[in-house]
Amino acid sequence: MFRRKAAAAVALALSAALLSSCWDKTELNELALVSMIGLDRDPESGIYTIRLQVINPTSGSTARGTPGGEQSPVYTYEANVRTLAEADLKFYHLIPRKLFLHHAKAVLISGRAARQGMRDFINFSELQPSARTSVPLFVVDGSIGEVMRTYTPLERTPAESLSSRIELLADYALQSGRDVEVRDVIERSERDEWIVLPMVAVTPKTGNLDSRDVDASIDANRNQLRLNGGAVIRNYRMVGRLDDNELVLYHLLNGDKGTFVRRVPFRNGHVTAVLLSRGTKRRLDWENGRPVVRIRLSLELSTLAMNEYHPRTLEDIRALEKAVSESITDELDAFLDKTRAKGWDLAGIRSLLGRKAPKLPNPDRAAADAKIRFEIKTLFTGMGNLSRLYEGSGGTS
Amino acid sequence: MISRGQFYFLTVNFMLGTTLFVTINNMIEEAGPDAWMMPLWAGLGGMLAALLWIALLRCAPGRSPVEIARDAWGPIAGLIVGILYLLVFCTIAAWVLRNLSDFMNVTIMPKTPPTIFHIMFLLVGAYAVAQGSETVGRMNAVITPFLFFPFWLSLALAAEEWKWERLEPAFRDPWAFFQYPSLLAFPFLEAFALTMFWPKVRPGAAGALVSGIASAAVSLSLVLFMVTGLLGPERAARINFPIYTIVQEVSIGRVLVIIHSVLTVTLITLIFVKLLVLLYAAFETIDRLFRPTVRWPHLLALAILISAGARTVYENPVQNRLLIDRYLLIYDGFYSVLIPALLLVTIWIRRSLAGRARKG
Amino acid sequence: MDPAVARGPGPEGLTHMWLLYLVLAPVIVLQAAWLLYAKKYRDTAVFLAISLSGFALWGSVAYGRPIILNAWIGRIIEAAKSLVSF
Repeated sequence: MFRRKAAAAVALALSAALLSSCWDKTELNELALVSMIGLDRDPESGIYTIRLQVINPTSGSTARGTPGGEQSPVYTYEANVRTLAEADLKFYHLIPRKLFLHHAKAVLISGRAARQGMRDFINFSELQPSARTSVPLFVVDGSIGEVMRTYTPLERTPAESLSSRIELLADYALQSGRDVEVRDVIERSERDEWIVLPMVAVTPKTGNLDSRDVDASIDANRNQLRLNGGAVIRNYRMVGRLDDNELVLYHLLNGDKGTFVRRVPFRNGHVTAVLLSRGTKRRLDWENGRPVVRIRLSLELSTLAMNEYHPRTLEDIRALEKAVSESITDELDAFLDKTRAKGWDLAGIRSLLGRKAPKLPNPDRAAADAKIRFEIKTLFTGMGNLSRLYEGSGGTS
Repeated sequence: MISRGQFYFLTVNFMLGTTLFVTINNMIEEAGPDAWMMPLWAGLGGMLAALLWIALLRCAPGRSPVEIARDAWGPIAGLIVGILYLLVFCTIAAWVLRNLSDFMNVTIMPKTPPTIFHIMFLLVGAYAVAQGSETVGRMNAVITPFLFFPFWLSLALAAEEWKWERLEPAFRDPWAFFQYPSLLAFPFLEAFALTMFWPKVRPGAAGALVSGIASAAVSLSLVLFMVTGLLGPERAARINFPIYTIVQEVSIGRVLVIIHSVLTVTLITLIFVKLLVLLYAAFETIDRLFRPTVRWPHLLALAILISAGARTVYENPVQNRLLIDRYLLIYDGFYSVLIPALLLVTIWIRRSLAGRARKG
Repeated sequence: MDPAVARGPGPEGLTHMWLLYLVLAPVIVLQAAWLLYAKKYRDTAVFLAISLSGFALWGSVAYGRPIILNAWIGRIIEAAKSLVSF
């Protein structure tokens, strides 16, 4: 009996020692935690410039007043390489710790690299078993080096700042969505579908500020990063831009769920409607051999921001709902006309045909021919805090 | 004696073992969104093969296939068949260990030498096998809930990424399996190794074996279904370990973002069970053939042989895949279908001759 | 496609042989000696048969010219196929 226990103990001890830490152990303070990755490629020379923004673990809110001044919350390292595989090698010329990409919160790609095509970057990143592709991908408007050397106030790590802005925009403005990650780019590009990624740019700078100055400056519009518009990507390549307004319409079409705000024409004026989108459903019908795509949207209307008008009767409500539905339909029709004229299939018609009618002889022609019909149903569900608006005379209308 | 329930769980875990690593992305590459249908076909084939084995085992109750071969074909042919089976079990065990060390080296532990994985698993496996079949059966039954729930929970946590469109266009290629039948060989025909447990299982275990094969087929199909729905066929066909990638990308809230080690432990344990069954089968073969009086020296010898085999069983994953596609069905079909069928035929002929002699 | 055939010892070939002789051979010899001492001749034979085949396989790995098992299985099957079909 004793021998059995001794044997078991030996086996367990050997396993614990040999299989967990002999060769592969890494202490936490030996790791360089990368929070943001920046990718760039010079089209003429073919040289890649990779930038890594590494978190500085010794910086913190108590660092103020320490001798030597405040520490930067992140450090940006830059390497120029001929091939992506050299990146690891080059970085160890500069970084004293083992790269740990697993915790990255954002990947940035320069506009010019996006226009050349991101497939090589993506292949390289998916080959690494430790890098995740469930990270948002941003296209940089302007100089990516500048962006990665810019601090952000309020949220010390720029990557955290950007990724939480994406979530807020998705929930409250429908100017972003869930499908803005690297893996979404892969999936959509492999299926020959379109995707729109958020774009980031630097706001005007008042000088060469360090993080202490940025934190101490009251003008938070300057010296930081701003999200602005969307980059239209097809087959790993950027082919155009959408402005903020069009971005809302794109995400609406994409089926993203979130709240957004619209000025809607109503009874010789405008009202501000707060709308909640609950997603889209598409159906493919055929009329005389021509595909008709019926896109059904359901919106919930709230008068939360409607300081111009307040519905009093059921007819008012129905009229409001109808006005909203019509206005959104018009906007979507105009958006699709404009983008389809450019050859962009942002409503995903081609992939719908590919899934529902895979045996079509000429799917591209059919997609271009397809007629799109919107069926928008708006339901008044919520109000703000007032049951009646104030009626004094000091207003603008 | 192993109970029928324990034998059932042993069957299921054995078959899921390395399959969840090695074949998922191949199947999706071959059949696209319809890949989830392939295990169902293969499972049917596996169940038919199991019926053949059960018929054989029922001819000689209480005896394992190696002994049946010796009874039916004489001592010399029986010895040859026994050695053949010993080598087969050792080779598959080596394959299993190599698959494991490849996975660990690529994902979590790149610097650990593969032989360390092989030897440590063999050490613990040999300890379990030396305790006997009841230990193996009981241990497997106890740990199954710890494998089942974390595995499906991890996949379920990723469910917010589900998109039905990834599975469309559906039902375009339900017969894909018949173009790529190596799935039948690995893992379903390998279940033959479980028949070496047969004398130690309570009578009436036929149902456990067949339903275990069916359950494994359905589980595999469900896993493929989920991988296709969560990753999409384009990515799943290219990523080497899709389940690992799915769980890698799961984040619970914004705080718990790295939970895939849970899945790794589950997968490793399943592989360990598979190794245990194969090691037991090899050891039983030696036991039945040579009636040894000691256990550990033979386990040591097996460990030396299998650890060497694990280094040399294939050159690299690409070559492995090519040769599997070409030869595995013939290889597995030979020892798990052809030989048992020949044995069965021999026994029937003998019995009918004896019956006629008695009458005459 | 014939990966199992190489020429001469592999690059790390002979340097790993001594490791093999130093570690594995004593284990086998000692265990066999113990078995002989306990007068278990049949067990010794079985033990030596299996462990020496393992030793040979390890030797091939250490020598740098590993005997790739699945390639050999493929060859055996090809040979069998040509026998049967002829």
